[in-house]
Amino acid sequence: MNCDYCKEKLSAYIDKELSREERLPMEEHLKICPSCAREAETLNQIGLFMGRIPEETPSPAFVQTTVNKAVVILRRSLWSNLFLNPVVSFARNAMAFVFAPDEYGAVGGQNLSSHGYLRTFDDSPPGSFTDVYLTVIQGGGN
Amino acid sequence: MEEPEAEIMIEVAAGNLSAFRSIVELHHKPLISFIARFTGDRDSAEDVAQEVFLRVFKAAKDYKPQAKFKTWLFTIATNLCLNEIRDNKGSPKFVDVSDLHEQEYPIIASEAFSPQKAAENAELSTAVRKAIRNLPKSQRIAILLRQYNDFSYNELSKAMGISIPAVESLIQRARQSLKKPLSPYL
Repeated sequence: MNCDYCKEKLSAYIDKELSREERLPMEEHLKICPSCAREAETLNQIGLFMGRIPEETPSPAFVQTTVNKAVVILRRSLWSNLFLNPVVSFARNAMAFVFAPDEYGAVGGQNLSSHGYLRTFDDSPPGSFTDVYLTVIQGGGN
Repeated sequence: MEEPEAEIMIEVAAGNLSAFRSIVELHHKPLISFIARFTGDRDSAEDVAQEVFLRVFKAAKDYKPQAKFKTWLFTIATNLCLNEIRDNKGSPKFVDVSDLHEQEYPIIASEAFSPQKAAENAELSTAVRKAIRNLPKSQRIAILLRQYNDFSYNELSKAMGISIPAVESLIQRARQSLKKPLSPYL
């Protein structure tokens, strides 16, 4: 084994990530090569230095505040399961009613975006809420 | 053998908050430490860790017991840390000796107390923290997870989405990069 290869594999050797076939020649080489042995010692020492840094001490409230936030998420998810789906389906049905072609007076086959999206109520009585609303959203007004 | 988290995560997916609490209790300390060492920002480490756990809670149904829980957890953490650094324009914060308070960074010295020894230890700890934070991001992730969280190269390869030889190379380069700034202490 040459020194370049040994030095390249030193970290894996220190971390016990080498197979037996790879490890044995390394051990033999380290016994006879002072330069590689010194390098191995240095890398080991770096590991020891890193080990001297203690773990952080989390604030005592960390676990509880995290669980509290999970409670909020859980509640939101329960509420949306209870109410959101019926609301969405109601809205979808309402939209289907508004945009239903022909039967309710909409212009079938035309691009709705060019007509304002409450086209169905075009002939609302003047001054009614729908009439005022359409005037506002279509930027109209005579 | 299946790891204990696999069963707990089934409970978490069903909305069991006690199960979620036990996951947090089990992993919060190493997770917060990893994030603090990685970002160099101890103050925001708990916020990021909290976000990691809440993502775990929300994604519990997607967790597959084939993947080791620790690997999954730290993969989420790593991605969030990278975002955190990106949001802070890539500039990790450094710890100055003057910023150190004994209470925050207790000096590990089981030997008889000596002010000189304590000062040396504090100086060395600061140098190590700073050297780690100066490592390129991928080297930093690899060496931190290997050194402090006992990740094998195989686990690192899964968490980082790279090959085992690439992990080996990152760790080797990380140790080489740490040599220079720590040479006064070697």
